[in-house]
Amino acid sequence: MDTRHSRTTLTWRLLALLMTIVVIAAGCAAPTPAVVQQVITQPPQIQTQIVVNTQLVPATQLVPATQLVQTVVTATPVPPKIGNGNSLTIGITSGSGPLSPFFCIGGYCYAPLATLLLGLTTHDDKGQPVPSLATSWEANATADEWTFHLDPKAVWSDGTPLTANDVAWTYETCLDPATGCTMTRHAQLNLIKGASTFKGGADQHVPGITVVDDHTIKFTLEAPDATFVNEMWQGIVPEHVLKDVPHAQLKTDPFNANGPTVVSGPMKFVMRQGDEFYQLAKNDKYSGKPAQFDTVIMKALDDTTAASQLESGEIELGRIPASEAARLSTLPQLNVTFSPVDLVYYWIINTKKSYLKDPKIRQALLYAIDRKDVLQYAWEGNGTVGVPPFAPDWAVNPSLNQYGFDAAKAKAMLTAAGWDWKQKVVIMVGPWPDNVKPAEDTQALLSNLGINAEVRLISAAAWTPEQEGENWDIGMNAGFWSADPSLMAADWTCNGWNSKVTGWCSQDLDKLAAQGLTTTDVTQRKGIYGQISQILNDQLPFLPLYATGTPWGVNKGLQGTKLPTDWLFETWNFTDWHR
Amino acid sequence: MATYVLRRFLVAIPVILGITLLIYFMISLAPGDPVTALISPHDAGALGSDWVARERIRLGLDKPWPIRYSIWLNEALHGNLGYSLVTGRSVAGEIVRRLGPTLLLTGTALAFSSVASILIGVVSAVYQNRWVDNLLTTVSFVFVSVPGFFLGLLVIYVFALRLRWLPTGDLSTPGQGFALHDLLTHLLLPALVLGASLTAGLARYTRSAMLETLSQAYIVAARAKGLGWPRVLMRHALRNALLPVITITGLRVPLLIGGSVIVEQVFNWPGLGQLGVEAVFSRDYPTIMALNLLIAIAVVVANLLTDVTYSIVDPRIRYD
Repeated sequence: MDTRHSRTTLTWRLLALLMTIVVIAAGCAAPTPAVVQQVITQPPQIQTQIVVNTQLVPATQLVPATQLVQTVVTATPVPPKIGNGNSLTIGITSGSGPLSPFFCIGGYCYAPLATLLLGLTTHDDKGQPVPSLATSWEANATADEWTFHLDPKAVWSDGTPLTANDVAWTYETCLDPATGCTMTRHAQLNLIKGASTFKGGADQHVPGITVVDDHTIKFTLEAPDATFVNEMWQGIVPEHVLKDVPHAQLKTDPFNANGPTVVSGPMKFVMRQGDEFYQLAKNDKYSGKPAQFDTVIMKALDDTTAASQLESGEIELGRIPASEAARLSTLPQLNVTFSPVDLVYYWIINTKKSYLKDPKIRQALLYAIDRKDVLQYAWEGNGTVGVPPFAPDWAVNPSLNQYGFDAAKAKAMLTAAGWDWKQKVVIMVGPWPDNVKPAEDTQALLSNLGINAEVRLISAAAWTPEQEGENWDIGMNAGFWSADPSLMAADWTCNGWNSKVTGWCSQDLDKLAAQGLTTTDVTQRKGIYGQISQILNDQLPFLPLYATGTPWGVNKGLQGTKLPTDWLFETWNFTDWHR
Repeated sequence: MATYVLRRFLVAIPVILGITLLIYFMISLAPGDPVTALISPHDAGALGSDWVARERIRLGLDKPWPIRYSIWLNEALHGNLGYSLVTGRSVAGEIVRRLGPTLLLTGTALAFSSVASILIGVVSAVYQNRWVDNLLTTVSFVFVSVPGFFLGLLVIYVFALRLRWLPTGDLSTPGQGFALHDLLTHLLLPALVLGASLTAGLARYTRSAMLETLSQAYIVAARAKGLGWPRVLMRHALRNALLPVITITGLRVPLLIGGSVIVEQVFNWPGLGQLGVEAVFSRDYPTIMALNLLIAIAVVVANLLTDVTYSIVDPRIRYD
């Protein structure tokens, strides 16, 4: 080969390498939209009420007629797509499985089911139970009997009246072991008298479920529970459609595996394309406030894909990654909001390990973690660092130790407690970004202190058995910021999952947790949960990191959404959504 | 030839059985199972260990893996691929539903890449070492080097988000029923991305094969006799040059199915690749086994078809 040819070939190959690098670099570069300032004029607006501490407070406020607004001009001349028309397409959490209250696990099914098969209650944007099929409810003085009153106008989409028998049948079918129902993990069904020993079978009933009349149902509990109503939002299923299906075959029955053909909610099921999307249509027989859309498409998308489709206008609402929130908020067609506090992230500590038994060690570890830094790294700073393990606000104990970041104090405490600096500390996390990023930063912070920390990444399917095992010292956990402190406290009772895997148990906490369920008086409960949070604050079987809200993108063509604390309830006020 | 084909099918049976056995063994070694994959630790705690144990028994997971494999094999031989442990839906039904989109995607990518690679390879060979050849070679190297997922994200960014010419993904616009234009619009980007690296690789093979063929004596003789270049290229050179290309293409077909996993994830394309990923993460054993069975059969059939096609294209090749 002559020299000239060699040089030419080399030139082209270098050019190929350069083009590859340019292509990759171009793809990695983030766009920087231009920002244009302009003054807009609009008619003066008067706000007549504001919400303070969940109470409406009358107020009058004049919104100025002119405002300085910064708008973003994108490089492309294509106008942003604002939603319109009577059809709506939204993104819901991706996942696969039956579209049935019996077997639903995950947001992919909760969002459509909330518009199809209503529960006795639902949760509002603050996580509080609000009426749905049940218009009212009450508990007896000892909180071990709950009576729900159903809407007498409630009717199934085939015209059959919806009665208390449907409610009883739904719960009893779920409690039958042959069904394989997963509803029990959310619903308080196991608290009902006779539920735990119920074997199912023809003409068998759970003793604690009583149909008083067509529109009244009573639940008698094994023990008092002031929070029983909080988890009664699971959908009720039509008895007259499914009563002849053997319970063991319910999961594969088309009504559950594909979609409900008879519904009670504002929308009815039209079709599903596998696990890609559901198509729903307005249910004209719905007895409540009608839906404002004739057709709704719910696409199951991961949050990264949802962000792309929000930007392109293919969907009008969806969860987005926290890392995209800032960028998407600059787009003219989108509103980006964070729901109220949703998830609480914390490190659980394996106190079965001898070197982690001492509470002083655990306190030192919490002093060693700069949680603001971790929040910034993992969530772009979108969240709240703090230690109160409970919600709502009335349950927060104001005298808790905040354990602010103090590396020097941490080191001194560890040294005083006899910490072995050669001891390896394994931080175990699942493959999700909201696990991996805090793990990386925590490892770095602990390593800076001289602790020999390493991150162990495990698959999602292995999560449960690994947590029950021994190959970890610190593990990521996240809990929903629930509407009642009893639910989070239950996790830390000696029978709770967290206690089981961490090996930490407090009899005092157990007694207090049981007391907290026996009364509905807020003042008494405040004192009880204040003591529980003090125990957890002193003992630190877990290291609280931060609480975050879920970031949502909503097209400006869609109004009326109130995205909730618990993202599973994204369609809780669906009939209020409008153009 | 018939004897040869029959013999190949008979040999394929124990091969496929061995593959399914190996896959089942390997997946049983993976930590976790469908029950633990289905629910979070928090939910497992709320449901109780009794529920978890009951579910394992209900799904047959309490049995040792050889027994579970035997049960699965027995049912599969009777045409029953079982029900998904996650969705409760028929595995066969789910595969049939997803097979269409995958075949559409991989078929389009294969067709596009076959045509494009032949064109590029022939042009490159004819204009060897000229600027056309160098340019095409450079572009080929770029497409071979850039990972498929990256290229996918890049084209989404350019064509869907900036220019808004094409959608970001999915098979079609939900709720609008079948429309050819809509389908083609959604198919274009993922098929191009999947076909791009295949085209680049095949083009290089085609170029090499053409160069070797063009240097043969009979080609020189044909030109000396006065035959025109197009006739010499199409009637004499290309047919012989395609022999190794056919082999490579046939061997790439199963890779396309596997390679479509990434493209399907990037473009949210509801095909077998996406189904396979979800099945592995959720330890959905029936779905995993059915998919692997399908891929094993596809590989065997693709190899056989390649060999048979080879013998048709080249009369010198005969199988006994």
